Amino acid sequence: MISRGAQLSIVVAVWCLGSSALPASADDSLAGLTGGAEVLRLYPGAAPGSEGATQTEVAVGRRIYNVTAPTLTVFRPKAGASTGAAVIIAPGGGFQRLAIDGEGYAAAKYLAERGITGIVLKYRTDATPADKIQPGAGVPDGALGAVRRPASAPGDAPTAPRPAPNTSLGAHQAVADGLAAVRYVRTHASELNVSPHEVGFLGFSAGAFVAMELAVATDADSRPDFVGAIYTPRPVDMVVPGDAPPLFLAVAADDEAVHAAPSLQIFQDWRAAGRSAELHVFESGKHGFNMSRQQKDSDHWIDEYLWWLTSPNGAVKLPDHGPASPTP
Amino acid sequence: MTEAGAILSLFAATVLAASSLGSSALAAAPADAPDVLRLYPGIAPGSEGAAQQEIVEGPRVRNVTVPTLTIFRPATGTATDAAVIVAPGGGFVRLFIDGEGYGIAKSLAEHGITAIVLKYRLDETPAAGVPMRTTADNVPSATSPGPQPDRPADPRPPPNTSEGARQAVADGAAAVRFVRAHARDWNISPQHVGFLGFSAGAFVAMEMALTSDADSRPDFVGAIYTPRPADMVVPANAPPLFLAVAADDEAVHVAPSLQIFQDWHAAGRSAELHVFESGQHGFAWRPQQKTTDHWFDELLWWLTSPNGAVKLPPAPNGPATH
Repeated sequence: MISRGAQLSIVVAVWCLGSSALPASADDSLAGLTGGAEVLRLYPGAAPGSEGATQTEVAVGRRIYNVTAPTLTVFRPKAGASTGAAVIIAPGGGFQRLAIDGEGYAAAKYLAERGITGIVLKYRTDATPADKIQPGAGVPDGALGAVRRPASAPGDAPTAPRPAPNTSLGAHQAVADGLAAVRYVRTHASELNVSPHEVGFLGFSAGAFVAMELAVATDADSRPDFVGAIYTPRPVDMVVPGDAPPLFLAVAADDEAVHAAPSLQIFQDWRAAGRSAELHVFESGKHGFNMSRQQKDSDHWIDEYLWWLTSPNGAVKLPDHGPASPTP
Repeated sequence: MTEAGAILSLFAATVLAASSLGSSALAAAPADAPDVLRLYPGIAPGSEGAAQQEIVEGPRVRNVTVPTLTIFRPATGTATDAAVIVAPGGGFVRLFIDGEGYGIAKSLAEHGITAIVLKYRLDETPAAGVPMRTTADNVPSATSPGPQPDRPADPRPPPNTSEGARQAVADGAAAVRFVRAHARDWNISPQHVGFLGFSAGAFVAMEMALTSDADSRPDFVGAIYTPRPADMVVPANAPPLFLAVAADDEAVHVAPSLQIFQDWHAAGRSAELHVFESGQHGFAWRPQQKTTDHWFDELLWWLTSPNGAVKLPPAPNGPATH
């Protein structure tokens, strides 16, 4: 077995190669948003299944397309301010792109200011041809624009047709990256200065689909300790495991992309399995309210998320360190 | 003295007694006691023959036959033109009037809202007392027909059709009309009258939200750990609705709130729903270091978010929540 130093060198070398091979590197063009937060490759080599990928990653505005080399961008709390908790954040974008700032960096920075290590997962997406990548084209940030109900899929919503979870290659790879991210953070817990038992996952839209798949994962090593799913679709045929983690759901009543019904159903599924769940349905705010400010009560979902995470007498999410501070 | 006069005197004495006892439960209240007004000029309609005497037991009251409104006004210079009528819970056999009435009203008044605690009529209970844990105490029994998704096998009591429940709803409707009629006296707008109910009081709130009588229908409604009126039909002009309940509520359960949210949504009306991971029934007046402790923040945000469904005008000094 090679030494850990050698492994690290390989990782660094691969990362440099990766960077040089991506002249329009999304991370480079978005570096101004991350404040120099450290970027780690999720896999030491090519991501499993993406060995032959030829698309080129590109950032347009604050969206990233054609991800083939998933990364973790780590936003650490100030020295001495860490609670030991980590939250992996998965942006939305319909598995076509990632709303990497509003549903990634901005949330991670908010958490880091409150003692929680925020780790943004740039997961793999479906390939998008260059001529289909346009700034502001059609679909709102984070919307599940490309998601379609498979013809044979069982319905999860009795009342109205709505998008079912994606079954594209990108979606499968995104879930694989989510599972790998949880394992990565636990494996590297000491370097990241977090507890391996306090690793949460927070997803938005398509990223919330990833979060839900992780929450019902049968592999305990890949299952987060607590899960937040913001405007989430509902995985088809979802079965809640007997030890499913505490779940936080938030959605706007006027969400026309995924609708509120999947969140209500997931809440009921969780409770029927006797597991802990919290649900906030805002009167308005639409799909993609993320960290933006609309002067609506959906602006406050992140307050409610922190209260859920840190209330001393709630379901335990942070067993090793006790509650985090809800204020900076 | 005529017999009617004697009865009136008796009621007045009862009200005074209740009032002074109520004040003792309000140790933290401002020195100037809030105004207490009778909801009806004479005997409450339907209570002409009522013989029970109102009994105050610490923070609770029972055997109410003379409904009243207790007014909590905002401090000078902080008032909006909004009012909220507050209906405590207690299964139509008592009122938790301190925690789910006066305490809530004081908090609303601190945020510029004129708050009015409704002491509504109840089912009669024996003078010697009534056990705290009864089915009726848990209340409000009215529930939705059909499956209860979170507790599918749970048998539920039938809709509450007791005399007390009917009188409570009548008092709720009268309270909305009363507040609108006195809006000018209190410097509030008759178009900014909300109703906030808890448990059995939330049942009253839901009946207010559903009423076809526009004069009695509040402009916005909050229903905290609410049962669901049987066979409810959401009117086309139903007011904005705020629902909050704990996932581990074993008295009314969470299913009625989920169903009401879906009913409202299906009718195209504005609704907001908060289901806390835990906190049980009655969290509104009991800080527990749980997420339920924040329901009032969420209510204020819902009331005051500038771009939400319109419930209130902007406050002069604001609820400082934005």
